[in-house]
Amino acid sequence: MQMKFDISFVLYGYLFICLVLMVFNILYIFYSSGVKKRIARNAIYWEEEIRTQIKLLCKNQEIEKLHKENVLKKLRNTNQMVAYIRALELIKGAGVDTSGYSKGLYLQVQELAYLYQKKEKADKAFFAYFIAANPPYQGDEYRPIIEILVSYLEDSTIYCRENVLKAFYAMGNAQAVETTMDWMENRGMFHHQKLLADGLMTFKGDKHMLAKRLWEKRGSYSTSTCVAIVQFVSATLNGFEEVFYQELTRTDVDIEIRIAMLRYFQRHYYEPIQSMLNKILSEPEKVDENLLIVATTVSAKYPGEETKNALRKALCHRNWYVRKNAATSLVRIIEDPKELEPILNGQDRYAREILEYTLGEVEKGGRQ
Amino acid sequence: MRDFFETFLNGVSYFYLFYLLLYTSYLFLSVVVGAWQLYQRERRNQIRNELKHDFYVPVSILVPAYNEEVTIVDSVKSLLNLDYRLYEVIVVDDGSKDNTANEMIAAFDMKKVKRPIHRRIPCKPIREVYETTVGKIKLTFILKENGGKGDALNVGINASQFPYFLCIDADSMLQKDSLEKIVQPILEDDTTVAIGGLIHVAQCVSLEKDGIMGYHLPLDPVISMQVVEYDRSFLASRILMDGFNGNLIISGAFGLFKKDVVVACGGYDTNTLGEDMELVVKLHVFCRNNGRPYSIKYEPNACCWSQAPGSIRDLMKQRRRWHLGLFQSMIKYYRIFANPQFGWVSMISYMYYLLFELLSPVIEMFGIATMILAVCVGMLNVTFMLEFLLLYGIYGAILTMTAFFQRIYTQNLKISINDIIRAVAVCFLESIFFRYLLSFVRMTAFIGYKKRKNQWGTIKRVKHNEVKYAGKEENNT
Repeated sequence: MQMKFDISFVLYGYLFICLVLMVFNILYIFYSSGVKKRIARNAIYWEEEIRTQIKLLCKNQEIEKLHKENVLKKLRNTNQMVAYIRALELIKGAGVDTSGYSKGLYLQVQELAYLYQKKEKADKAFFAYFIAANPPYQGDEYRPIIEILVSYLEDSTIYCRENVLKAFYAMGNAQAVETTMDWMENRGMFHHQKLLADGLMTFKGDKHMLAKRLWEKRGSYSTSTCVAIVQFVSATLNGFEEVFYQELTRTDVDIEIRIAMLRYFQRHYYEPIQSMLNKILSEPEKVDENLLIVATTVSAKYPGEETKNALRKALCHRNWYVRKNAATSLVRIIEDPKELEPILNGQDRYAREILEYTLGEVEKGGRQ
Repeated sequence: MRDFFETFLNGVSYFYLFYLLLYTSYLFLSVVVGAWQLYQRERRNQIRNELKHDFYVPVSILVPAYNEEVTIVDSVKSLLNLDYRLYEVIVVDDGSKDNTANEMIAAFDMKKVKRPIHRRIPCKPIREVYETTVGKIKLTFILKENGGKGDALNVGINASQFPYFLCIDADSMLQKDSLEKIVQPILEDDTTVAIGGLIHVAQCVSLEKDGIMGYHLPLDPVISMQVVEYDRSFLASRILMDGFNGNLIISGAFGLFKKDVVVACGGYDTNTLGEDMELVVKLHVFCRNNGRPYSIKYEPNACCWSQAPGSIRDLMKQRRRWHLGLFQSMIKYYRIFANPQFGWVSMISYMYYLLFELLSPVIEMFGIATMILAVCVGMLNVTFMLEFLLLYGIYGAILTMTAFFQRIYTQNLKISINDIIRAVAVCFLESIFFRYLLSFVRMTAFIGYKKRKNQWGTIKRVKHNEVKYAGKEENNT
């Protein structure tokens, strides 16, 4: 059973490469642990340096020229940047305000931003992270660093885009946020609406102004981005009641956006919406079921006889979630549990069971 | 006659040459790609290239249980201690005959409720529902008629209130950051319908509230061989297949799924032994047939610690089930075979499972039979064969070692010199002995198949803290 072509040669070849791989692994582990030790040492160095500069700033003196030179020279190296950020985190963790220090290094950071522009995608994302954690300025005025960071988006990873956005949120620059969102929209770049909505909530500038700017551009944004904007507004801002109400009357608006807008009224009371809610509940066959599901939940915020009647009707809807939410809302708005007796003693088994269960739940939660 | 044998044996030797060439190449490629990806990932994490977020998507954790009185309470406690803002835990008791229900109800002071459950997926009748709230986490315990693991998971899906669900075995424990890590791919790509995590052997670790407190390679060779085998499988092969959206298995011990897609394709199959693989293959088929963009991911940063069988008998039972599950899924979805509609899933993933997993026992058995024949006709070069087997064993062992040490390094685990020596020995033992034992198990998997078709796989469980203490004792000796 002698083969003409000997497979053992192939195996010897693979074996050799595997051994090389093992050696590489071992060397990499040693190299990597060496790097980690160096980073830890450098972090101690930077911590001392930064603390000294912060003390100078507290005495109304300027950051030393040598320190600025060091920052510019050393932080070109990504591992030095890792150590520097670690030092800043340690100082901030101890309750020391570093914002004045970061602002004092604006020019050096801007120069570094240029240098990182030429680096790998991951390094660019890391630099954006650094800016997000330590913004060198805050406000709406234009600064060249914005343009540099926007240029990072070209051929970028999702981490880079997210970190650039976070940097602009931290700077509180609405124009920069808008530009970035436009850039992503124009290129059809996916950015999860949850990341956008939660990120916008952390915006350090005038949120109302930012919301207005973004809302005005809704026509050029995808549904997912529009929903993110509405979620951001819902979580943080009053004053959009009339805007959203008017928008909800339009039938050409995407259902996802309408649902998000309807949810706004769960958090922000606006009396005129009550009649719209009751209309949705009383004419369920004319509306999208997902809108109906949300309407039954939002109704709990708008108690009244008409709402109760509409919810009682919704309790018999064919959709499981409509009935479930109707039961929850109904239990929340009734003044006297006796009002529910006709349903609890009625023929609709499901309505009975879900009401009993919801009553128990609400009792547990102290009717909160 | 001798000419006939010579021609036949030559033909066979070329077949095996080609087969082994394919297999060794695949193994090699998977370990190299896995190693490279892990280093890249480690570097990315070091320089904060990750989607760290305060709020992620809400998740329902489903724990199907059958006769799990020994581990269920510890497992649920570990699930209630995760670093995650919004999630619920649903334990489904599939008609256990032991004290699982009493243990759960007593340990968490659960109250019986009359909760209607939306039966979006058909399932066996529910007997009772219990609920409680631990901190901000809702814990639901459902008692149902026995219907198998798939059926228990379907009940869990029906009872879940969040858009994503995570299935986890009742004997498994999660690290505090496991849930956070496993949902991160969703934020990167919202077409993600399923994500598998990394499964480790729980007997290796001392896991406490604050995380991993100690790691050691167990003295028991049956367990330690599974440790290195898991590493090779999870760190290499799955990363490679993840590269082209081709993973066909997400372990039932730890997997996250998008609920609406799973419901749309009918939930878990209740007539298979490998409901986890069946679901993933079904998702591939469903999404491709419906032209729906999708991705099925593997997230090696998300870790789950699951108890491995401690005896050869339990191990054989488990592997028989796995092999039968594989067989059922491969047969059920035979249309994937050489089907261009499925792209790399068909050309690489399906072929890999077909040639190197499902058919390998048959091919190996044929190889042994041919060797016996060659001996009989005096045409076997014994020296060459022994050299070859030894070389192949060393090759396998080095690949496994690479995967093992890679994982130890990237997870920042500290192991003793004794453990390193033991790991090297175990890698050789696994490659030279254990692999062939498992081949034998797979070969005999079909014996008694019909009788055990829908039974839960039962292996002897050990309390998590007893596993931990055993580890400490071993470390001390």
